[in-house]
Order: sequence, then C-alpha cells, then structure tokens
Amino acid sequence: MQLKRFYIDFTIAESPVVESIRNRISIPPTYVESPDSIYEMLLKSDDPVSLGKKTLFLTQNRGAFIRECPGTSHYTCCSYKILHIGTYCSMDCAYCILQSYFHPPLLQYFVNHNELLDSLNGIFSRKKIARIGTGEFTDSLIWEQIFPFSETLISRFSGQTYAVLELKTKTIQIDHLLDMKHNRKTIMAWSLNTEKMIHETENRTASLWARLNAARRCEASGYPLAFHFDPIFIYPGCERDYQNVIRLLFKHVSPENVVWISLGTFRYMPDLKWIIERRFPRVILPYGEFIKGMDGKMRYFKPLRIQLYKKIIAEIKKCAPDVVIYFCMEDDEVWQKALGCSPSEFGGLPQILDACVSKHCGIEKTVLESD
Amino acid sequence: MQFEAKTVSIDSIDIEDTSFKISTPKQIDELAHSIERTGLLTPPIIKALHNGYIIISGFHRLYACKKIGWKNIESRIISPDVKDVDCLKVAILDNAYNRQMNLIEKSIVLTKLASFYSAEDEFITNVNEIGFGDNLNYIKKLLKLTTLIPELQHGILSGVTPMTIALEIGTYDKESMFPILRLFEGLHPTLNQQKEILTLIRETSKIRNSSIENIVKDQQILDIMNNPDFSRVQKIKELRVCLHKMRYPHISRHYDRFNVLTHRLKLPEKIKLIPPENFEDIGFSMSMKFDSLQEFESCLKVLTSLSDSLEFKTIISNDSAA
Repeated sequence: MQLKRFYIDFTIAESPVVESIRNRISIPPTYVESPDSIYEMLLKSDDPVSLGKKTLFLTQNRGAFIRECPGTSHYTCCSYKILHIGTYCSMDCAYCILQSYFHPPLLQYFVNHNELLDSLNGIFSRKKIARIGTGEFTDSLIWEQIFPFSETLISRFSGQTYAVLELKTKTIQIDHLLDMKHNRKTIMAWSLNTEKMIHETENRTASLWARLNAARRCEASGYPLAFHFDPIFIYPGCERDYQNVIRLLFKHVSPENVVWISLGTFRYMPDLKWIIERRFPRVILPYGEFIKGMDGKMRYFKPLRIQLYKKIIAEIKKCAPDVVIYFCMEDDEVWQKALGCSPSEFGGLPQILDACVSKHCGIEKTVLESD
Repeated sequence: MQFEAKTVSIDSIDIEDTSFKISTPKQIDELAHSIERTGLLTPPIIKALHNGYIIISGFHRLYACKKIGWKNIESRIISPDVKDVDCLKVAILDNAYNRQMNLIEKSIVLTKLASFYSAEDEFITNVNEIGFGDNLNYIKKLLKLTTLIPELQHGILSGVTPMTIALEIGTYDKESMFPILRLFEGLHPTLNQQKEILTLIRETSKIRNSSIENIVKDQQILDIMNNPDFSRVQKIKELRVCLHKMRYPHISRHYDRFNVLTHRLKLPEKIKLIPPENFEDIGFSMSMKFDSLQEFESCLKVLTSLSDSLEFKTIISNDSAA
C-alpha cells in the first residue's frame, strides 16, 4: 500500500489491532470522531477515486460482518456470503466497479475482529454448509501487509466442518500462509485475465505468471484452489488469449485441486464509464458492444457473451474435463447455450457449488443444506 | 468611486489597449448611424494615465465616434489611483447593466478577473459579487471558452454549437475539429443529436484506433452528406444509423438479421413479432390486433403456421451470426 493519509477512528485508538497496524505504517495518523471529515477531504480533491486508494481509515464495522452477495433476481447468483473485512482496494484495475460503488471510495479496514469472529461462530454453529469469501468489497489479501488477519481466519475455518473460506486475490501475498494448518477449509482463489488485459488494465497487480506460480505453491501446501475469469473482456484476439491463459493455468496446477472456475464477462453500472474515461483515457474497454441488462448494468450483447463463453469452456473442458465451471450472474439462456445445462437441473447453482466444497474441502454431506 | 465628466480628444485615448475590453467584436455601422442621428447617450468610461487615457468601458462607442469623424468625446473619467481590479469591475458592471452578456464575454470577464486572484475561494466570492453565481463547475466551463479556437467561439455565438459540445470538440486535435464543425454547421442537429453523434464518432475512433477526422471522412458518411436527394432531417437520421452501425457492428447486424427474417415471415400488419429488449431478456412476444371473430381466427392460423417456418425457428433460437 502506498499511503498518503492515515486516519484512525478515535473510539478504537487503543485497540491492539490498531497498535499493530500503526507500527507498520510510517506516516503519522490523524484521529477522527467520524468519517465525515475524510469523506469531505476526498470529495474536494480533483480525483477522489485515486486519493481513496492512498487513504487508510481504521475503524469498526458497525453493520453486519456477514452479508449476502448482492446478486439480482434477473440473473443466477451463487449465493456466496461476504465476510466484510474492509472496503476498496489499493491496486488500481481500470474496470474496478468499486470505483463507483462507494461514495467516495476509501480504504477502510475494520479492526473489531472479535465481533467478526463472533459472527463467524454464529455461521459455524448453524451446522449448515456456507461458502464465505472476503474478496467482494476488497481484495482478500491486500491487507496482509498491514495486518495478517487471514492467518486467524484460516485457523478458525480449519477447526470446523461446515463452512469454507475463499480468499480471492490478484496479489501473491501467500508466503506466510503456506505452512498453516488449513484442513482444506480455505480455498485460495485468483482472479485471472489475459496478459494483455492485466498489462493494460490491472495496475499494481501481480503478473499472470506470478499469480499462477503462487497458486502452484498453495496447491503444494495442500490448499484447494479456485479461479475466476471475471471480468472477461471481448476484444480482437480475446478468444485465443483466454485459451492461452487456460492452457497456462493447467500447466501450473492440477485439475483435481480446482474446486471451481467461474466465468463472467465485464458488466458495470453506467456511472463507471465516465470514471474509466477520466482516469484511464487510453483504455478502450468501456467501448465494447454493451447493452443495458435487466439489472440496469451494462453488459456485452448476449450472443457475443455466449460465443466467447463457448470457446473458453471448450478449452477448459479440454484441459480439465471434470472441473466445475459456473457463470457469475448469467441467465438460463446463457447457461444452456454455452454450457449445455441449467443450474436448476442440479437443484440450483448454490447446490452445485456446495457439492464442490463437499468433494474438495471435506464438508460432510449431511450438512448440504445451503440457504 | 468618483467619475469626472469631461470632453477629451479621441486621439488622447489609446484604443489599442484592450486590458479592460470584455465585449466580443461586432459591427459598429448601426451604432455609428445612431450616434450620428441622436448623439452619444451614454459616455464611455476611461481612465486617466500620465500621458493620456485608456478605455474601461465603451470600446464600440469610441470606435463608432471615431468612424464618424468626431475629434472629441464626452467621457466619464476614473482617477489614475483606482486599482485595475476595480476598473475591471466597473467595466463588467457597466456592460452587464446595459445588455445581456454572451457566453464568450462571460468567459472573458472570468478570465480577466481570475488574473487578479490566486486563491480559488476569493475568486469565487468576487465572481458571485458580480452576479455570476458560485457554481464552480459552471464557472470552470465558462473559463475554458476563451481558450477555444475562434471557429468554435463563433459556433457558440451563432447558436449552432452549444457550450457543452464546443467544450468537447475543443479537446480534439485541430484536424478533427473542423470536419465535425462543418458537419454540424451543415446539419444543425439538436443538442441531444450532437451529443449522440459526437459520442458515436469519438468511441468509434477509439475502437478503430483511428483519428476522429478519419471517421468523419469515412466514405459512408461522405455519401450521406453529399446525397442531393436527402433533406437535412434525412441526413441526420441516416448519419445516426450509419454511425451506430460503425460503433456497434455486431448488434446492428443482429438486428438487421432479425428484421430480414421477420420480413420473410410475411406477417400481416396486425401481427407483430417483438424481440426481447436488447435481446437480453428471455422470450419473444407477439401482438395481434383483431376486431372480429373471423379476424381472430385468421390471426390464429397465421400464428399456428409459424411453427413450421424455418425463419421463425431461426429467429426464436436467438443465435447470432456474430
């Protein structure tokens, strides 16, 4: 993290987590009673989105730590649960929806970990299968530089048999996690893209090779793996490029340890377009053949999505015939035409993914009652 | 502020010094005729310097008086002690009091005023005091107008180019500005049409990695613009369709294909096949209108026969030739 400003909510100034983080950050903190002054400072700046990436606010999460994935009714959602450890991201992907999701965006890290762990205990005690991830409102591993909380999470998940944790990242900050006892209850997941897209749009992220190498090392440490091709971009030569990534992926990891691969083409709320245009004028990704989807988000024209999905799936099937592939936020027509089946044939997408974690992570079948 | 009324020699006024000039150039013939007929109703304001005068307000009146051969002119004179920023405010208020300033003049006012204030807050307070409001975004936009090329400023003054459009065109390279300006001058599209056309051209140029000039000079566009059989309105319509096809080639082809196949179904007027919105939602729909049982039965026959049609099957499979 390249921080320029560092704020601490004065109500948690004495927290041991804060103390530990303060020792790792070289710039002096400013103590605030509320985030309002930080929001005001960000909104007054010429580029709040960029400044937000360099502004850290240590605070408490006063809302729910475990939230439902904000899917919409028009498309099939995986019913993943979000563990809310913080917001926003220090990396700078041109397409990142978080740029327009928070008003204004700000690196917030929640330090009331005891309450977070209490919420997790609540999930564990339900004795129902749960897939939980930290990589929805932020990257799962960017925070490890300031506080290695994933160690605590991996340890907590390893001691129960009802839930799996998915750590989704574009970083390679895994060294400190390799020797941990995880009991296969943590899935190490990477967001993947073509080398061209990583180079052109995923600023300050690890290279494709580095991500795959990190995945290989995690696999060697016994972790189950997952990969997310999301967002997928349509551009001249994209089919060949994505096929190359898939071949490279399975040169690094074995299909047997891949819990799932998700696919999702680029989609965004219309407001994001002008942010991308202003912040990344050379990037042409907002100029695809988009239409307004049923959820109000801009999506590639459906026949184009289906056409690319088919090519990517064919390559995955060639390399790893048994790996489960699913779509993030697509409808039945796309499932049928690109994958040849509908989630409802298997009881629904959540049930498909629950079966995956049962198989790969040792979740007992008796608790396959995801809600 | 004190003004001294005095008649001075026109030759003693430096009409080349435009430090306080905020009006855009205009024809002075009519003003000159008026002064010749009825005299000078409102004397210009000038400032005394050690060796003569400079104009604060009333440039066109002075030009007109000089044109009709006056040697002397009655003026209101500001003392040399008055600061330049206060002279500028006098010029602004005198102009604002007498007429509605156009956008370029407002931009000139703001640009000149900005040179006196380094702090943004102080500048905005003074802008607000002279009646320009305190909307910072609008003020920033106005400030940019004086940096535009004269052709764009002329477009704003003539009403052909709205301010937002002029500001966008102003960001293009010069080779691209003129073809766009000519396009709009010839077609006079509405503001929304101009916005749509500009967006389509700009985005197509990005996708094709080609200049805006090249997009505007594409043969298909030239053919539309040079077609003598098209009215202005038809040209606008054809241009928008053409640009849409260039920007969204696959989507356009999909719709074209749908229209061709639907046409081949030879559906009667009263039956319409409606695709899902943007071909995104699942499900085509059909509408039929009838006003008798006989017509209803006839519609049903047509609908039933559709299931044997290859074109119909192709349409509802919604597969793309993309």
